[in-house]
Amino acid sequence: MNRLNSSEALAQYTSQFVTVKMSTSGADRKTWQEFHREFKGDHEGTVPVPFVYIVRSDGTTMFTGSGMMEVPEMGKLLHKALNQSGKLFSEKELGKLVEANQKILAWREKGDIKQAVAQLRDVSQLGPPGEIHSFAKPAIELNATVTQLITEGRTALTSITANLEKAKSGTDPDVTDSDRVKWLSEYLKVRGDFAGLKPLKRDFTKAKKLIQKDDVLSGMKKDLEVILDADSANSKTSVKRALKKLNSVLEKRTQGEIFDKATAAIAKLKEKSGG
Amino acid sequence: MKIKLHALLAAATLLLPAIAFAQDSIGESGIEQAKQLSATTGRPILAVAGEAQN
Repeated sequence: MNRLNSSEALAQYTSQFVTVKMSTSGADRKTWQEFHREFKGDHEGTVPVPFVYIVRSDGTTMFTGSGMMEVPEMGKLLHKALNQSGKLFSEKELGKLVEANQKILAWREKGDIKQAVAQLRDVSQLGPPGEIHSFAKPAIELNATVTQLITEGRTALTSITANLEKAKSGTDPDVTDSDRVKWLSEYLKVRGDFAGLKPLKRDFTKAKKLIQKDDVLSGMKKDLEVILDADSANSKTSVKRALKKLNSVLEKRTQGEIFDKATAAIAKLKEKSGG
Repeated sequence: MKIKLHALLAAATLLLPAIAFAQDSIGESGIEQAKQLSATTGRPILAVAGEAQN
């Protein structure tokens, strides 16, 4: 025992486990028998003791065995088990994962996807969004929440991209400018909400390229961006700048849905800035 | 260097006393506590069953 205690090689591993000892007799016997059945899966009647079990957090039995073992061999065994146990987080890091998940869920509940996605910045150093390789419950739960966000964003983008494909000039005669404005507005909304989610980067690139390649779509998108940006103009300078850009939209478009939106945005800005 | 596995049992007692190692019997609740701690932290369980050492 003294030799084992003084073995730093083993201590550095064992300190990363949740360690349990059980007696095969007396008050522990029933508990041990159940544990043995659960993780070894056979009859416990003739088990030579001491008997070692290594069980991953998800309940997977990684090792069972008994008998003599050299320190280096035991070290290798523990090292291997840790390697197959995913990333181990400190208490502080686990707290961050829990907090991020709670915040994301709360923002989602309020319908603010942009803020929900923004909460990922606090845990970005702990692993890729939705794919944190850990068997810890907080990581698993956060992965599930983020995966759901990714799925929502991807589903919306797939539908928008399919519509924009139809909206390319000369593709479908039944598609109107009003349809184009609607789909581009949807694209800008989804971009505003989900752009912070790195796994959706490829999906956004596809939609972005599609719009860029079409002069009508890219022109409409630019104007819609001007209208959207005007909404967040608060200072005198930004209001002045927004008005200038909106007026240049009106110069290009003398009628239509974008013209109407720009006119409404100008009226709103003027009202905000006191005329 | 050869060691007996029951030495690991004793060593574990010193390394992580939080899981009822000081008790005579870990009991069912102790195992459940260990499983919950493992699930929460992602740390694997290292369990050793042996003869009671009195």
